[in-house]
Order: sequence, then structure tokens, then C-alpha cells
Amino acid sequence: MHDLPLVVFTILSQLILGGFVTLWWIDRKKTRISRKTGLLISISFLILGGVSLLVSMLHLGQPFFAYRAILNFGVSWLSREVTFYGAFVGLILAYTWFWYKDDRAKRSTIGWITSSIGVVAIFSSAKIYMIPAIPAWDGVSTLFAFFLTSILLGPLFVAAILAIRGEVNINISGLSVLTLAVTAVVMAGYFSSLLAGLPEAVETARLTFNHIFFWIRLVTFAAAFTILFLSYKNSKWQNVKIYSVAFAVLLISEFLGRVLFYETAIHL
Amino acid sequence: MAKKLGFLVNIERCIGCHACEISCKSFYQLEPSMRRRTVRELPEDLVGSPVRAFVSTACNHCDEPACQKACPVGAYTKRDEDGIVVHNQELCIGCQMCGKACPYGVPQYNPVKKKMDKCSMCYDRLDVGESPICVSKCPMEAIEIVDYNEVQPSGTVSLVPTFADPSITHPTTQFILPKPGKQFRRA
Repeated sequence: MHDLPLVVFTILSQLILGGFVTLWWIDRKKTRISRKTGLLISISFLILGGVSLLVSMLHLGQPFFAYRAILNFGVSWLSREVTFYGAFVGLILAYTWFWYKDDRAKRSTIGWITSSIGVVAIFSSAKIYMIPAIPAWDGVSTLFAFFLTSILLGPLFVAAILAIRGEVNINISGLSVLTLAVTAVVMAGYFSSLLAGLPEAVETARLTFNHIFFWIRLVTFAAAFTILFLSYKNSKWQNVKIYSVAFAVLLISEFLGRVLFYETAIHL
Repeated sequence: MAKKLGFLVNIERCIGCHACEISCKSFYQLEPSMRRRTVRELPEDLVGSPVRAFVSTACNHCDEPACQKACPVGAYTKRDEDGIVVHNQELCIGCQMCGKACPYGVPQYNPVKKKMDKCSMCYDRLDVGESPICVSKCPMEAIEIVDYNEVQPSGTVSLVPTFADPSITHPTTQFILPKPGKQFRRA
């Protein structure tokens, strides 16, 4: 599949943004996270960021000239995405350095800047696809989908690592259940608009409903919702296994959803 | 005042011989899967009564080119002197975003060069007073280059079936539709 690098890049970049904001938020709330754990999570974002950048280059015909992609910043959303995402990963490096130095004040400041740049990067990423030439992409649902992936995967990733490390046991289930409910509403709105739209949009909906990935995505989505809802209702379900399983199931669900996003897009 | 060059495609004259398509492909030595110009058959009910009609399309050198806005390296420029949208392959990194963003799917990926490619309206030939290859090779003289700032041909349309909504990028290409009942030249 030609767009697989973009599937991996978009999912990873969104996961990193959600996770980074979660780590920064927990840390600035004076909740005690050990230096070792903070450093571990921060380094994991750095590695994932590096991997995502490398993978995104596989999509290019000329990957060694990828640096040129910042040249049209004034006009192109792709150029803006590359610039802001590059800055985001660079700032995570600085943030990681302040975990290494155990300087909480500087971490807090640089974390705020990094989070803001990350949000702009994902916003730019969504804007790339909001083009009239592909009706299925040209709507606010693309923007929602990208940020909802961030909110679904990022906090769960951090919660799972914190639980594995036996540190701050954050109750992430409520946020995840709410985000899943919003995602379900956005998905329903998205498919309604496709079915009421241009013939190319209707064709996208038809291709999606006939794709096995769509049904696996629905099942995994429902499974993650059930697990996290039980976790929200029962504190005994807020542990390493639950968060890890929920994260893994949601990662599969989001990955399949993103594959469909690219695979079923019909050009005018 | 600067020129605004665009193609004027006379569907009434086109016999669907593909000479424009093949001569362009041959002149620019494009890879087998690539075309800078394509000829398609149009629906029979194009003008009410049944007609057999073809349309030849290439880059529309739009007033607001989506390719130019999408390209992250600035490989697309719209020439000030005549409005031709030119793609600089030296800069292109083959991200293919221009192909996605163009409502007409004009820019194509060259699988050998691993860069994008599109019609340049043969601007290097125009600059020395020659016609584009497609214009010069059409046996029916069905393709013309018109300065739309100079003349506004009557009876033209900017939208034909299979062509995307012109309000998105404001393409310069105009078409002359076939006249019902005058079907003596069809192949």
C-alpha cells in the first residue's frame, strides 16, 4: 500500500502529541513522577518522533531531499506540517534534556511551548487533507479525527507506562470513554455527510462499508469502549493490564481507521 | 496587460484520434503509464440529442492552481507574463501531494524519475513563437491556445462531463460543445 508510511506517520505523530501533553500536564500539576520514569516516557516520545520522521520520508520519491519540504511554508500546509512537526520533535529533545537535568521549572515552560507547537503541527497535518479534490477528506471531520486520535492514544500510552512503572496511577478511563463517545458521534456525522454528498463521497462510504477493516475497526472500537467503561466504573479495573490492553486494542482500531482513510479516498 | 493563455478545445471538431495525446507523450518521451494530455469519450447525451463526442484535456493552467498551494517545495510557479503553470522537476521531491490536490488529477508520478510531471503548455516552444505539440499535431485543429485577456470566444463553456467544478481552481481551459445533428466527422 502506497500510503502506508503516511498511515504510520500520522498515527505516531498524533499519539506523541497526546502523550506529550499528558506527561507535561501531570508533571506540572506537581504530581510526583520519578526522574527515571519521566525520562523513560520522554525518550520514548523522542524515539517514536524520530521513527515517524524517518517513516514519513519513505513516502517521498526523493527522500534525501526531504529537507526541501519546508521551502513553501508561506503557502503549503504540508510545508507547515513538516516545519512544525520537526520543531515539535526538536523541542521534545530539549524537554527530555530537562528531565535528565531534573529541572522541573524549565520542563514546565518548554513543555508548554512544545505542546502548542505540536497542536499546530497536527492542525497543519489535518489541513493538508482538507482539499476539495477529495470530497471524503474535505471537511472538519478530518480535523476532529486527527485530534481525537491524539486524545485517545496519547493519555492511554502514558497511563500504561506509569502503571507498568508502578507510579502515579492516573484515572484516564473517564477521559477515554468521553473521547470514544465523541469519536462515535463524529464518525456517525462523517458517514452521514458522505452519504449525502458528491458521488465520490458516496463511493468512499460504499468502499468503507464493504471493507473488512471497517468492521474490525468497529469491533475493536466497541471492545475498547467496553473495557474503558468498566475501568471507569470500577477502580479495580484501573491497572497495567487494562490500560495496556485498551491501548493495544485502540491502536489497532485507529490504525485500521487510518488505512481506510487513505484507501477509500476517491478523487473528483 | 499580461497574457492569460489557456487551451480552447473544440469538441465539435475532435474525432478522438488521440494524436494530441500520443504526440505529446512521444515528444516528451514519457514513461508508458504517463500522459500529459488525455482524450476521453464523453456521454452520448452531452448536448441533448445523441452525439459521439471526445474531449482532450491536459493541465488547465488554473488561475488559482491547487498544485501550487499543495507543493511543499514551491516547485510550481505561475508565469507572470502568460499565466502558464510551470513545474520545476529539479525541486520536486515526489511527495505526490499536487496530484491529490489538483481537482483534475493532472500532475502524474514518474515512476522512473520518482518525481511529478505535468503539461507545461510547451512554454519553451511558445517562447520562440511555435505552437505546443498537441496544437500542432491535431489533424482537426481542435486545440488552440487563446489569450483569454485578449479575446473571449463566444459559445464556449468551462464545464463538461467528467470535468471537476471550475469554481475550485478557476481553470483557463474552455470548450466548444458539439452541435446536435452535425455528426459527419465522427471516427
